[in-house]
Amino acid sequence: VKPLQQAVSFVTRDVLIASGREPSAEPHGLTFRGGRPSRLRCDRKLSLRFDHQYTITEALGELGRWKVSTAEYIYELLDEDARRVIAYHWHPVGRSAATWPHVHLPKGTPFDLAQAHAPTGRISIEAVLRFAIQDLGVEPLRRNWREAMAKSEQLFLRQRSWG
Amino acid sequence: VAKGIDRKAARADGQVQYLSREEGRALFDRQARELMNMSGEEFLRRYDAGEFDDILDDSDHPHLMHLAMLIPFGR
Repeated sequence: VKPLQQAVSFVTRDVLIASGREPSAEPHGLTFRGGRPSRLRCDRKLSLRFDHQYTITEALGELGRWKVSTAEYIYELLDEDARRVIAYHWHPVGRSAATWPHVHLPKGTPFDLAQAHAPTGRISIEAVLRFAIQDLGVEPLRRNWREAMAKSEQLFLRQRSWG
Repeated sequence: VAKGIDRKAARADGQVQYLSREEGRALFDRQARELMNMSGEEFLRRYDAGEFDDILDDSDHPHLMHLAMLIPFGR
């Protein structure tokens, strides 16, 4: 989970908290301290909700003995009233019927898509943060964020098991 | 100033904090009370009973899926 902390540190100094680091059939949780969204540097007063679940399983690959895999994610950009601006979800297990990676769009589009689960590919947190910086005016905390974020995302792309 | 920002950001790297089971349950309970006006235990019971299934990922109830994602802290 260290790469995820590194990724969010491009836009916030808030620290992630986790529910465990032991191999387990049940996923562990990862979120910002207090379970609350993290306020970003941005004239629009956006914040980032980061809810992530991961599993730790034994692996016999060249990358080490243990493999940490994403089980579910919610990456949401919220306005100052905590309303969703955009929300990237993937929750294939659990009780939701929407098991595919999808995006929730805000109200106000030509058609009301607020209740839709518009499909996406699997989204990395780096892709969400790049979008927030480039298109929504979030200020990065590092001058070299493009290169560092690309490096972080490449690690994710190499190690992911699907998508 | 920018270098200072970089150094502070770098210090945040890799500092994921691991909660004990008690700390995790307390976090989950606080979030359930704050967002749903119910205890964490009640949320889990109603979640497991399927009471939220129809509106779990509904944009009008965004707190439900957030709490569902925090369940590993609450169990």
